[in-house]
Amino acid sequence: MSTVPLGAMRPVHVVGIGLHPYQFPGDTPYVTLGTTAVRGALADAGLSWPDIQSAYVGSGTIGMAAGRVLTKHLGASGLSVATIENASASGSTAFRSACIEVASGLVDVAIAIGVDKAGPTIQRAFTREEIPRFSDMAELPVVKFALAAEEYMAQTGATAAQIAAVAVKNHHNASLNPYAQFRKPRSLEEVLGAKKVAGIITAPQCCPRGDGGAAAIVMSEEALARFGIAPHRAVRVLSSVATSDRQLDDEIASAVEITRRMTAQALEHAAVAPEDLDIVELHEAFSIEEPLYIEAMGICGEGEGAHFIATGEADIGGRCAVNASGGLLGMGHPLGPTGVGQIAEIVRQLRGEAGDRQHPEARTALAHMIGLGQVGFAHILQMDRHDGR
Amino acid sequence: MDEHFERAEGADGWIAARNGDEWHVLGSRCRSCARLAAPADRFGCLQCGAPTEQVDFLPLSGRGTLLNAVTVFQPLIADATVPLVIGRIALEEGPVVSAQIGVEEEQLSPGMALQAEMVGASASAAGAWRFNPAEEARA
Repeated sequence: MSTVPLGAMRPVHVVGIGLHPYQFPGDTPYVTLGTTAVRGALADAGLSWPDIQSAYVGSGTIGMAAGRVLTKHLGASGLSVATIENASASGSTAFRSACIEVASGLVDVAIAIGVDKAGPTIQRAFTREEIPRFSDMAELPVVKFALAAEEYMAQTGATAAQIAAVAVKNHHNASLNPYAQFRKPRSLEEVLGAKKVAGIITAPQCCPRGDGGAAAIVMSEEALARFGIAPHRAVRVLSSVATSDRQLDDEIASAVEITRRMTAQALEHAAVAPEDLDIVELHEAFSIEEPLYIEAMGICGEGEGAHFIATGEADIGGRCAVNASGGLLGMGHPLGPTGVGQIAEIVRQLRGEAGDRQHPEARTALAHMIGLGQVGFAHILQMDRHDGR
Repeated sequence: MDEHFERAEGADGWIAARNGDEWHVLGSRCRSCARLAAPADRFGCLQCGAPTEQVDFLPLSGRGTLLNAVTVFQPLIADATVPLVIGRIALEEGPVVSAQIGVEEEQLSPGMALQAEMVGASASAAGAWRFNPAEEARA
């Protein structure tokens, strides 16, 4: 039995990105959130809606047929549409699906869309699993991560302040991002002194709920030529890996193991080393996730993650810019859009179009996503070398 | 499971079983891969995928060792009274569970022996499990 990684199929490039700013739950219709992002991506790529052959719409909260009900407002072009719900990873799954469809040769141009509105009525499958827990409170992600933070501090000697530094960095990055939900920098004192939630985790160390839209257009090399896409605005998708748990009983340890396994595989498929990563957008719904995951990715040594972040190595301009967008803590985590928004930030950075938050010489990037359940997605993107760059 | 044991009514029958007036933490063991689970693997073994017919239900001692604990400060779920303490407990039979602890965080330290105690149970319906320092549970 042999399998073919994405990079060995037809080359896939991201050519257009668009966002609706992530925002606190409000009255903006979900169709407006989605169409704003799509029209942004079309304008960015210089394409029109009938050029898109296939759309994957990641959405966790809108409901049945979210994708087609959204896309019909962009014109009756007859494209293929599929809606994908995969919790936090809905957008990442949509992006992977769009890449696979182009890489396979089924279509030349596809779009990944993420759209969601935070509502009071999200149905979660685990509430219908009909398996009782020892404590419902203990099942909440923030409680699990607060326990993981205790364990991390005990094992590595990291301090609560070093973990809080994740929120300081990401809120700072978000303050430079016009699409971010939070636009205000926060000092370490503010983060540490904010409302306590669980253990050492304070409110600014938890991602907000919100509304948003994000879109990314991918195409084949033939289509790049046909549409006259400028080489420096097309970002290659080198690899795509999807996985789920292999170990039980400790969800956080499993998320770390998923991260380690899928990142290693994505890097191998892309022939890229961890130290080659200039940009990493990763899933930090809670501050403690960032040090745990960058260690598992090999960006720093085991037990060094919190120190790496607190000393500025993960800053824009540092050794590897982690969550230059502001991440889930600062840019926000509207669910469906989140994974597609990571791709938008990466493309902006690799094109050198990130303005005030541009990481210098950014060429290679990783998008990392964990979804409830749990599932993991890793994508490596790279800007091809042009003009001796 | 031993014939003297009766599972709690409804969904709680996957975390608690009764022997007369005495409540026990319920777990399960897979006959195929020997995985020991708590809560019990109701729909089949989570490790090897063996169907429910190959999973045996068994009462556990309720004794365990505290791995770590945190205080929850906000009422994050309906009807929660905060602050409350959640800990990770390695049961002596092996499974690690996350559960509410009956005492304040200051009274706890990793490695401490804990004992599960059923609170708020009726004659046949389980209440909730609380883990308390072992001496206090015996008192």
